Amino acid sequence: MAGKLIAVANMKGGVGKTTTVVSLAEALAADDSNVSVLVVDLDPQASASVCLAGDDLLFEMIKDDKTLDAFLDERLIKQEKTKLNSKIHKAVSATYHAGSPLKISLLPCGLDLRFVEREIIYNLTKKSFFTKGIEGQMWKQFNQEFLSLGKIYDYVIFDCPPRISTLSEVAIRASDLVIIPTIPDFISAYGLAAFVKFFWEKEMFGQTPKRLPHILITRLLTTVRQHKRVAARLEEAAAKGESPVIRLFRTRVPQAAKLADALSTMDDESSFKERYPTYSRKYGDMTLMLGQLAQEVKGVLNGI
Amino acid sequence: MGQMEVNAETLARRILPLLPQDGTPVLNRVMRVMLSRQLEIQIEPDLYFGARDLLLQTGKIGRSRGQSGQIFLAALNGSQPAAVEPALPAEPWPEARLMQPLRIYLEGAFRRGLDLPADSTSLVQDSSAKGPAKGLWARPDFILVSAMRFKFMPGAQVDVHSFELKTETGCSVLAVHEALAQTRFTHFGHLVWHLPERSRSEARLAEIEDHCDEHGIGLIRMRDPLASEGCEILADPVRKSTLPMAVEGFLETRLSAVQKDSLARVVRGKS
Repeated sequence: MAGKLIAVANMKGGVGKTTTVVSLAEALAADDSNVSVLVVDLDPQASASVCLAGDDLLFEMIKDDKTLDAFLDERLIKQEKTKLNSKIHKAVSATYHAGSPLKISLLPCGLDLRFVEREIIYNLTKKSFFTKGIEGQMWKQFNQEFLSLGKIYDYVIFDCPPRISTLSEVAIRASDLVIIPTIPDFISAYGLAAFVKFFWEKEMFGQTPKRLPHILITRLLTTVRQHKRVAARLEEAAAKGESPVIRLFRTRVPQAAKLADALSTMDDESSFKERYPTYSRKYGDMTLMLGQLAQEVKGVLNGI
Repeated sequence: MGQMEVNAETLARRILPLLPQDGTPVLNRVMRVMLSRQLEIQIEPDLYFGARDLLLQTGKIGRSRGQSGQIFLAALNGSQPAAVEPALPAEPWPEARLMQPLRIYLEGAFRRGLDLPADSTSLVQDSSAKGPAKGLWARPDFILVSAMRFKFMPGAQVDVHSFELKTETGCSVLAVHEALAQTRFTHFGHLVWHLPERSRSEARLAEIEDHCDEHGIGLIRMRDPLASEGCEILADPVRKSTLPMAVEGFLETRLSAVQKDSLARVVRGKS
């Protein structure tokens, strides 16, 4: 079975993209011990990278040029024959479940990605490439390197930055599923339609994303009336097939301290146990919700 | 580091540098995660335990059983752990690991400091798991009982010291009161605090020392559990006038028959 590519994206920041990426990766890996998951960090803030690797290991990876930006630099600017697979840190997870560490690997991102992307555009412009040509180069790299990762990993999850970079645009269009985490409030829902229209109504190389956008309600506060209203409105829009057409996950991710804590367990002050927690200890009462989300994502990808 | 073939021998060599130099134990499952992350491969249980057993056989590591099991860097000469890198930010010592260093101190330097006569007796007993299960603050971690007879005066003197042990981050003013509460069964209450040099917890030292002084509780600072002179008495305890009946009942339930007999022989002048 070919691995599935999942992009987690939203132009708005602070909606829980990284939380979704890390917790979904761990939930999928915990759900089936035979499954291997790769997280690709496309965000120069490296939030997903630091959550999975921790400060020290991420520092080592950046120092050793084991990052996405180092790959792009070597491949597209220095024209070296670097393989993407060589930049992936296998077995990166510090979380333990059912007798083994979770099978999660990481292609981290360093702060240099923004400069590398600019440099690539500058170099290609010097070679008289137009915008379409630059996008074409990115598309080609993606097809050559990222799609082949689906042969190694069961799930490849992209953590997209809160902006539309060339690389994240390609990832969104090429993925089998695009998850759009959204806080059910006015501001977060406001930009949703524009984001969906941009990707699902505008083609790039004759391609729009493979499936309809899947909205995941995050940071839900059931005590806030606005949250309940916006969530109900999204449900109605999805049910009626209003334009732009969306799908809505049944799973709701609540605003929970346990999720925030789960992403910050690797600080120097913590004990060995806290730095290397078990999956159930890490997520506590959130494990049930994450299990449901993993099942739902699998259902969507398998066409159920 | 890329994919590589590992066997028990190569894995064993990887385990040693990952173990804390101060002997802090690491859960087996944690060690497997650390190895997986470092070697970038999943370490299967059979392979891990094979490597661990090799190190156990050669005496390079020790093990403690319990939930999940733990391993730790073994002592080089049976009493001191392997080379300690000074000033490394070490993991906090759990109370269970501090018990043995405290016992060594009580049986050694502390007992010598009591300056007991040659015909006296003294014994140190781990009392942390003895006594009423629901008794609040009724289980000192250690007790030291000394018995001696006077040269000119009739009768015997029995002193019972209780010791409440606290970890680096686990000590507060409340611990002083815990040690004080234990003196309802003993004559001298001591608070033993593992407080390394330059510890952040030093900020609480002055306040705790003040409370110890105020309540007549001894304060022992354990700077380095691994060093023979690692403990320092910061405050001397004041002898409490605890009722002999309470002390008697306490010793009855905390000491073994042999220990009670040994005490009784000195008290009766039969040693």
